[in-house]
Amino acid sequence: MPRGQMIFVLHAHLPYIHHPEYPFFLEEHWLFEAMTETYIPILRMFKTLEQEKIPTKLTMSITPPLMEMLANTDLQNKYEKHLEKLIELARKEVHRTASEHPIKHKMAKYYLGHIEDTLYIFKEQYKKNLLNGFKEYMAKGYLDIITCNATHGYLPFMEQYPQAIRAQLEQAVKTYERHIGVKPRGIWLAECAYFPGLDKYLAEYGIEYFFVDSHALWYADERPRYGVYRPVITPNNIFVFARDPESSEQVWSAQIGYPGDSRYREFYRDIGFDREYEYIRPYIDPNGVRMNTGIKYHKITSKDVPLERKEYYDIDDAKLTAYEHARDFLKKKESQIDYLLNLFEGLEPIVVAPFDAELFGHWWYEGPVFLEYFMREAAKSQKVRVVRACDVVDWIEKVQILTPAASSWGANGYNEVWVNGTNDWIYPHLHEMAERMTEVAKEHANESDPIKIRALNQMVRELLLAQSSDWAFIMTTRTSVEYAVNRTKTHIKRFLNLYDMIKSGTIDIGELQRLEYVDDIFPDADYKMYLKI
Amino acid sequence: MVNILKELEEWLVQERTIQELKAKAKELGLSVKKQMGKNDVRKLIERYIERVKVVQPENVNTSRPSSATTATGPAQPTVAKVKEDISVPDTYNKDKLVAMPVNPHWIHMYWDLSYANREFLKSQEVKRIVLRVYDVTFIEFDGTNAHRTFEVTIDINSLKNYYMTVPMPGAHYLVELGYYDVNGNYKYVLRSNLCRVPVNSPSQSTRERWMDLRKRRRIVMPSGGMLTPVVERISGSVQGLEHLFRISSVGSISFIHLSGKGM
Repeated sequence: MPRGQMIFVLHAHLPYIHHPEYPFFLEEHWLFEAMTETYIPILRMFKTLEQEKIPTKLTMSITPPLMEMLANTDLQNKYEKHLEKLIELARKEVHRTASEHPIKHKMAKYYLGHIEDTLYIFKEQYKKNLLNGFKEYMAKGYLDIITCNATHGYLPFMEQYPQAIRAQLEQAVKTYERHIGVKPRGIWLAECAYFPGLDKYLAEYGIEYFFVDSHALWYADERPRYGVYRPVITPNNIFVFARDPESSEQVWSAQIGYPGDSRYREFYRDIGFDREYEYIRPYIDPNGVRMNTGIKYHKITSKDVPLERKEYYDIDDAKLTAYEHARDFLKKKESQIDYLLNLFEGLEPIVVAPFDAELFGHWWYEGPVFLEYFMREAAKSQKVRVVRACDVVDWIEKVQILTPAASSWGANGYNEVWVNGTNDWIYPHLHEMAERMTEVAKEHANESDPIKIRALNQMVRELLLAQSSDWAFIMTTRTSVEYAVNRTKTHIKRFLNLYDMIKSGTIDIGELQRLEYVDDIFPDADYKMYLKI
Repeated sequence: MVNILKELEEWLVQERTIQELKAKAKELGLSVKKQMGKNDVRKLIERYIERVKVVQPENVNTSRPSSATTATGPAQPTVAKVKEDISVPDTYNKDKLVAMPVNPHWIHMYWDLSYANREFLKSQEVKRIVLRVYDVTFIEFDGTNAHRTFEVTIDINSLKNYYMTVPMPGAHYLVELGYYDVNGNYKYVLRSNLCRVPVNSPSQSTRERWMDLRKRRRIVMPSGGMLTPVVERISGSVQGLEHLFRISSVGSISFIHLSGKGM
């Protein structure tokens, strides 16, 4: 019986945030929250489905900065401490809620058990490195892990600097290999940002496939016969998968999307803000600023209800909702596939549904449960077969040759999120840095002084960190702008200082040592990448 | 590490010969110059100690160098720990004009100037400074053969960059920063990279190419068009950015939504 295939892609990414000189740093909690609410729940899902012998197929990009953070001992220890504190708080909550409300009390007990389990999975099961978990399920054939360009740099804005693009790709491949043990087959281009010609560079690094937004195929140089529902191949022989707009709409849309259901957990009500100050003080920012703890007792209730009138959240109700939504989503996929099968005269459509991984769990608390139910239900489906992107690449026999159109998955589909009045000031610096990096790399192509080599390699780290598309994105969204601006300026300045040292021939070793300590990404960074023009 | 630093400090307090100091500095990997005197080398080592101290955990101040404003929490002031100067230069004193595609109808341009050109553009010779945009799609541009030419007068004292609306999606543009001289002749000072703006409509091509991966054969055939009807979104308007906040209308967003997902 002909069926359609579906590829579920989760793009897991956070910018590199590690401040080893501080015992507590608020922005490091972006990682901790994502670990607790997204990455560990996904691993938990794999385990559950494995025990039930449900065939599960997921494609996930884990970006180089995220891999570096997950493998970083200091961050691992900070996360462990963070969980221990949270368990202490959850215990207090269990006592406290006993006299408050039965649902609240039930949830407090749930959180305590849940966080203890999280700590167990983190510490005992995966020895503090979650990559061990992802590698395990990759080896078992559940998961296709792909890479992403080094620091999630926005490649269309490096078009004039092939060496900058190559460095982003080379570092991506190296980092993946160092953590996963094999070379990556696929790549997630940061922000799905593609421009014609980029595939040539991907081919140089042995990349077999990447992902684009729908209009990259709709507006490709020749019309795609099957729209976005079959992968295509570029003239440089790289497979391209395009996003299905319907799947995204069903999950994201404010009107019909699932995460807005009244029974799901409300993100904004958190005991970090709700409990009295003296009580919550030990569990928030040591500076005394309230922050999210992850313990939340309220549900969305209704979009029109103000925060203070939200009703209590019940995890069992929410799970039931996730189950309904998973079945609904599968039904929609089945009817979409029926429709496409008919149009394609029996040729199997391939539906690609990519999402930010952090949507599942962090933003949409029940997302991982939804995914688990979906995998379980889809395994029984007569029409849909869930596969990994690499499976399709291995099986497919005939593909259309196309050059995708320049595009991204940002608002409006092009580059305006990453260049507009809030962030355009960064590009004169980023471009100048790429030029200077190339200049000193050439001048020191045969450098043998170990100190100078270290300084040159540190320049690479500063440049790559400055290039993270996250900073430009945060400036556009106007949240955490100050941090993004400071990070950008800091890396520019550190880079320029190192450049001056290299040019003058006098390396301030104390300062170099400090920079290696505070910007400790990519131990294998190599300035010679910038010789590849 | 801390003990080593202490030892080093104690070692430095005692009377040392220039040879001893230089040997120690070299041992630490510091760059010692021949003409350096005793005090210079001593200072070099002292500075090293200061730097390394900063990195030691016991010197860590728990105040935070930056703040993220959480959606529901109050904004907080920035407290810097390591007093690091993060001012970035206004200019690199380099002649450069860069054009970047924003969307099918917009290009972004920024420029930088060498000292000589900056001064020149202030001179009496220069009557009016302009940005010129040439549509050079698929041509070998020789300065005179552009498909179309557009021009806008700018004030380079108040502007460092510019967004320009361009008419043709998919076109290749080249930008010049130039001026009109006293005789009304146009001359250019800077010329940009080639800027290809994205397309926003389906291809007009009547061809389809296929690859049979089993037989490793390429097949070319007439295009049958796209089998799947598509409802396209209108793109290229700045108003669209509210989509970035699409989740917030669902009821959940706090500090950051980390990717540009939007539609």
